[in-house]
Formats: sequence, C-alpha cells, structure tokens
Amino acid sequence: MTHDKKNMKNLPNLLIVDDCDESLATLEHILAPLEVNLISARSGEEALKKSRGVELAVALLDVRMPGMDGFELAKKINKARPLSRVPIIFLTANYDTEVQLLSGYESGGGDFIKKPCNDHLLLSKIRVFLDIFDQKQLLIRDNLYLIKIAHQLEKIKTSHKKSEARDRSSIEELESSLLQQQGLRKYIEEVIEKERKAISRELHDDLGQELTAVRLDLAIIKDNCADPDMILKINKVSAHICKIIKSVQRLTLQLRPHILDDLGLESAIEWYTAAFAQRSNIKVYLQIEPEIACSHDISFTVFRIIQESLTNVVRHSKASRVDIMLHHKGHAIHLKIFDNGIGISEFEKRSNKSFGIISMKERAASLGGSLEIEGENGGGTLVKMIIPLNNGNQ
Amino acid sequence: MKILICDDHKIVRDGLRQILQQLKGVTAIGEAGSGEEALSLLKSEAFDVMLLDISLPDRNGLEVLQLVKEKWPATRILMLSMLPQDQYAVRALKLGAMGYLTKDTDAEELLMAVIRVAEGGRYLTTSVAETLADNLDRKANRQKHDILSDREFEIMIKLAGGKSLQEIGDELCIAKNTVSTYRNRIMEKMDLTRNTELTRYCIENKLI
Repeated sequence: MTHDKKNMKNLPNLLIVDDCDESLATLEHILAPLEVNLISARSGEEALKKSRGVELAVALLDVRMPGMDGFELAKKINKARPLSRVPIIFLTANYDTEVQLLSGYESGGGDFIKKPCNDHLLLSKIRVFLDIFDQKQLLIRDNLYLIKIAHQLEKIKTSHKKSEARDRSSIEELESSLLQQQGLRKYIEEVIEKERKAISRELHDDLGQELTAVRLDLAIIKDNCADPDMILKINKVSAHICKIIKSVQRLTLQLRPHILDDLGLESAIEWYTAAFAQRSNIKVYLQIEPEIACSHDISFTVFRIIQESLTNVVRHSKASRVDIMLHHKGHAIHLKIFDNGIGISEFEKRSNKSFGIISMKERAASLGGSLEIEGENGGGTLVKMIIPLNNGNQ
Repeated sequence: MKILICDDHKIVRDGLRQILQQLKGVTAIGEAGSGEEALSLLKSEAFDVMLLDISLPDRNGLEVLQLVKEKWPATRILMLSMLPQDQYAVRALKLGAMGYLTKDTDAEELLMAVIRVAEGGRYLTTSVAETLADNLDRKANRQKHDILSDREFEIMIKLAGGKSLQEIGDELCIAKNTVSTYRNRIMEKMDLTRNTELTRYCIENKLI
C-alpha cells in the first residue's frame, strides 16, 4: 500500500550496511524499485550514526565487516530500540558456519541471505518485511487511536458521572421545590379561604343585619305615616335596601359557600347547580350518593371543581346538558362531570394557558387524588376526579 | 300569643319587635341574642312562636331548632335568615321548622307568615316549595340510567341487545365512531366497562 505514496515523505527507512563499495552499490541498485528511503553505510559505526533516532523498517547487514561485524551491529541497533525490534536480514558468505548463523539469530536476525544475492529473492524478502512493517505501523496507529478513544471514553464517563450526580441533585431539587410549591399553594389557598370566610361573615353579620334593621324601621315609619307621597318614597327606599341586601347575600356566597359548612356537600351542590341552571339555561342532572362522609377539605375541593367545571361548560362547551355524578367507591370519592357540548381538543387540554385545568389538577393532587379531562371533539367533555379517603382525609 | 325572637343583632330584634307588636293577640315578646340565651328563656317560659336566625354567635340555628323541637315541641318555629338558598329552607323544614323566610322579606309577608305559623300551618315561599318538589323528584328516581340522555338510553338498549357499533350506526344513520363515543359516555355514566354488564343491568331492570 505504500507504493502509491511516492510523494510522501514518510517512506519506510531501509538500512543497508556493507563495507564493500561495490556490494553496497549493487544492493542500492537492486533495491531501487522499492518505495523506501535507503540509508546506506559502509561500517557499523556509520550505520549507527546515520540511523540514530530513525525508525527502521528493515536492516540489511553484511555479517563480515572490519571492526564491528553485522551481528554486533544488529545487537546495538536493537538495543537502541527496546520497544520495537528491527527485523534484520544478514548477508552471509557461503563459508559461514551454522554456529555463526545461530549467533546471528541470537543477535536479533530475522533472516539470512547468502551472497552473492539473488535479486528477486532479496527483493521479495524485503517486501515481506516491508509489509510486516506496514502492518505494524497500522497496528500502532490503531492502537494509538484505541488508546485515545479509551481516554475519551474515560473522560465522558467521568463527566457523565458528574452530570448524573448533577441531574440527580437537580431532579431532587425540582421535586422538593414542586412539593414546596404545592405546600405553598395549599397554604395560600387556606389563607385566602380564611380571609374570605372572615370578610363574608362581616358582610353577612354586620352589613346584612344592619340593612335588615333599617328596612324593618322603615316599615314601622311607613305604618305611622299618613302622607301618601312620603309612603311612596319610603317604599322606594325600602325596595332599594332590599336590592342591597340581595347583593350582600350574593357577595357573601361568592366569597364563601357557607352552605357547604352548614348543610353539607349534597345541599351545596344542589343549590349551586340549581342556580347555575337558572343563570345559564343549561340543564343539570345530579346523581349524588347521599350522606357521603368526607372531610371538609374534600367537600370543599369537590365543590370548587364543580364550580370550575360548570364555569368552563358555560364558557367553552356550547352544551345544553350537564350530568354530575358523585359516588363513594372503594375508599375513594369519584366525581364525574359530563357535558354534551363540543368537547375539548388535546391541544386545549395540554396548553400551558389552561390555568383552569392546571389549577383543578393541582387541587385534586393536593389531596392525593387525580383529575382527568376527556373529550374527543364533538363528543362532549368529561371531567373525572378521584380522591382517596385515607391519609386523614376521612 | 307569646313570641320569642332569637337573633344576635339588637337592631334587628328591635325592628322585629316593633313590627310584631302590631299583631293582635301578641301578649309578650321575648328576645335572645344567642342560642343558649333562647334555650334558657324557654326553660323558664313557654312561647308559641319562635323567630330563629341561622347565623348565631354560639351555635348554628339549625342545631337550636332541633333542640327546641325536641324539648318544647309546642313552640312553633319560623326561621328568619339572611341566607337566601332554598336548601336551608328545605333542611330547616325537614328538621321541624314551620316556615323559612329570608331577611329581605317585606314586613307584611313576615306578619302573614307569623300568623300562619301561630295558627298551626306552614309557611312556604313558592321558590322553597319548588326546591322541595325537585328534591323529592330527584330522590324518588334513583335509578342509575336516569342520568342517561334519551339518545344514550336508546343506544344502551341496542348495545345491551347485542348489536355491534356498526349496526347501531347504520340504524341511527350516524358514524360508527359517534356510536363509540356514545358507548364510552354510557359506560362512564353507568360505571360499567363491558357490554355484557350493560345487558345484565338492562335485564335486571326490565329495560329489555
């Protein structure tokens, strides 16, 4: 594969060492077709000097040389490269003994070629080593790549662990802030209710009663009055006060349905739905299990959900009929509110702007219950709430 | 005739006293500012008619009503309240009151009511009478399928008879999906999940 890369500087380095100029020239000539960077040397010392710090693909060493022989050179070459052994081909003379060859293997030799060399044999042997070198380079590259990946993986793993811990803690934070919000919401609602109760009591008890007294006094004045003009005026004022009393009553009710405390859930629903039916011209049918024993919290929530749902019916549904079912089933209160209107789309249900729906769901959730809204387009809407009677709700 | 007024507002009591004084035959008018006061007055003195408010400082007027009915059944009670809902009237009548008036009632009507009650009759406004009737009507028909609309009832009968959604759709000239929506609605209202349960309900209630 290196053959295509003639222009590349990174050609494999091939070291040839022979003390004989002619032999060296011959070798250079034979090896010329190879895509290699030839490093030629005439002695062991020169070879070591020229190849210092150079990665060698193959070394072709003459065994018999004055001074440092091939075997010693081979040892030194490989000693300088403890991590990657250089394959070495020794060029031997016919008369070299087997003992000598053995020492050649010991000094790190890979192969022997007898001089004078057969060109083809030499070339093909070197090609094999070059191929091996190529493969080795690839392996090293792959290995480096793998190491890099492993390192990156480790980094990702660490950061993942960190972010996991972060996620966990932020989820915990979210959960706790959600709980806090629910608690806060409940608290605020309780405060509002208390305040409403106080205001409505004042309205009812003080303003209402004072007005009643004024009206009674007027009646007495009227009885003792002979002037027909004056009687007419008194009647007018009396009628006016009557109107004011009615608005005080209405205000009181809006602020706080005392009827819920005084008469219980069933009567409160009866009253509210009857008034609703009259106002809206929408028929309301009730199916309420009598005497459901539930806490004030639950009664209040059921009542408010009905109020909210009926408000939605008037505003959005175009319905002509509403059915309300309230039952006690297996330690839970089941409330269903149907209308026969245009229904509600999935989009409207999920919309962030559906504060009414969100607030209804939250009311149910604050008592450990659930609230679902169903309604395909055209099939009317169903509000379904289930509130458990345990958790001290009973 | 002896009348007891139980209301926590002195000005209201004063006004009522002046109006009631016009009635012929009224021999004494007692006043109580709380439930307890009224009960202790009744212990020492008998009254023919009692005007009773619901919102009292110590206890609910409906409670006082029950106690008086129990201990002094001869005292006839006319509720007089600021609370406009007929449900209060219905509850009060159930607990033994002879009438229920709201405080925006004219003096003339109040006097009429007192006379009627003193004579042993009941005094009901038209609106209270209607609510009472609605109430009876609703409670008399407590069958599960009463809540179904006419169309829903019709489809329930067909479903109970074993007809498929497609068949019902064809018969009523509506889409199969519409029938399916009706079916879901019927099941929710009837609190059932299966057609066989529907069939069973219809057979048990002799609807098919």
